[in-house]
Amino acid sequence: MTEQEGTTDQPAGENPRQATIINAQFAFIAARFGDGLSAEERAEIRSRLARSVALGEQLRSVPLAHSDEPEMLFIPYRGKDDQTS
Amino acid sequence: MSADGLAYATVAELGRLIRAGEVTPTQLVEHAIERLETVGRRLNAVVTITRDLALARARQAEAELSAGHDRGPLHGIPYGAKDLLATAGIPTTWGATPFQHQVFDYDATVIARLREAGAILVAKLAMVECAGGFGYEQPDASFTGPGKSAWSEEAWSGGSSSGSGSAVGAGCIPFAIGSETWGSILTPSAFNGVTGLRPTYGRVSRHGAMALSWTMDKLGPMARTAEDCATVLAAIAGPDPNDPTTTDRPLTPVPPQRDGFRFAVLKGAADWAQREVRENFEASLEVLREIGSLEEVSLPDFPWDATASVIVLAEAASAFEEFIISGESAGLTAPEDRTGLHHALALPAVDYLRALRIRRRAARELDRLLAEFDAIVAPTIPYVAPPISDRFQTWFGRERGPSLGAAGNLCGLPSITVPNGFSESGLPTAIEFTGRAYAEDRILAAAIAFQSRTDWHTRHPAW
Repeated sequence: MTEQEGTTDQPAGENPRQATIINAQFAFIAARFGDGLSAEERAEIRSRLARSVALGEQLRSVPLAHSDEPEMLFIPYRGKDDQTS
Repeated sequence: MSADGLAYATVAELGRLIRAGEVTPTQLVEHAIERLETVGRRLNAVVTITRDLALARARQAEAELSAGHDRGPLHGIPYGAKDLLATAGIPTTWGATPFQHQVFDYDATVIARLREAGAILVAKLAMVECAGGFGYEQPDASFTGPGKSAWSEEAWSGGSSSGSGSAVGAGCIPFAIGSETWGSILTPSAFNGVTGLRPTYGRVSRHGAMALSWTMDKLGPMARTAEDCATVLAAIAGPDPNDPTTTDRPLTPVPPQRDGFRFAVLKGAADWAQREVRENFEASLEVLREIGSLEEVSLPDFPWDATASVIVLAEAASAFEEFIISGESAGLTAPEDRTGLHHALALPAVDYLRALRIRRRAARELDRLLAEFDAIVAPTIPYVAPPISDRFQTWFGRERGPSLGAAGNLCGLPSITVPNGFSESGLPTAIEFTGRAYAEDRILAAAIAFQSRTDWHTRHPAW
């Protein structure tokens, strides 16, 4: 499978908008890995991309308010006081 | 006590035997190693047996106990650790060929704490490669081969803590440490007929454990009884400066409560389970009615699986980015794992952050529901262990009914699985009790009460 062939498929059940997103993400992956992927691997990656795009759509079905923050653990670092930076 | 009796004795029973002078830690270690070398190897449960170190520790335990220095209920007890926990000078393979020769120069906090408690590490145990984070779709996904259930060599042990489950289930060791991001303690516990505890996220330090998901990884015990799980948890829990996500909230002692519990039953969870799983779950509910009240509930309406999936994918892809980009993932055993996380490198950051934002809201709503109960119960896994030759999609299918796995792990809630029967083919089934965050005492008390009225946890395979 060529890179073009690997990025322009639109399997049944995928609407054009989903296919565009999946193909764009696939192009990103293909660019990172170059020619190192077999046809079978490219097909598998695209299939998984389709599933993860669907996951993102499920997340966007949940209404969130501006005040809905993520739980983040960040602790500002300060070294020992005798350190200069 | 006979060798068979030693093999399937609980931590509590072995502790009594040691203190009564009926067995020595050295004898227990030698017995464990003999069974690991034979039964354990046959089940693909073992990576490394730490013979010399274990025998030295056993002699040390004997000397300390003789001198009146008793470190507590784990002193002199052999155990195994999932091979994603760093052990100084001993290979830590993460179950994966590319990491087969990886050696750290420090111990994971859990390993250090168990050593302080007097427990004796006898083996590093097999696991699904990289804790299953690369999306394996069949049991043959470890360089040690497919994990086999303690109850049938033709059935999968479950994963990703495969060897921890089967080595305990087959009477090689009285307890093991497993890890769970999403199902990796509860599933192998269920498939091997053992009791497994997934603590609250942050209850047990992750320092020295392979990272799959920084915000969802948990470490916990797999043993024969809930009582033993409580004993091990007490030894490994607590704040750790090396893991800033650990909590200083004290571990509440398990109360001696045997009835008066309030159970929620997850609506619809058993409807789509295999017939024997459903029947055994319904029989378990009758036992729970003897010790408490039951009320059917549904989970708050959130995309639990999708939210948990996006978080695990994003964090795993980041944790393993160098491994993936370097091409080293091509050395993984399962073909689907070799490119299994490539797609997650394209996951939008806003999707990940949205999942984190949803988690915060979902956790609050789920806690409001659970506040009314000691535990919510459901079949641990809606099917028995699949054949080791089957792909999961053949056995499990893609469709899933309601389950506690995604919600409980997404929100970092504690859960314990206990055996509750067998299928017609002789494979174990199990029920799980999930509680509020930091309420290990409640679910442990409920599980201990359940096991005081059932004997499924005392049955063992004919190894």
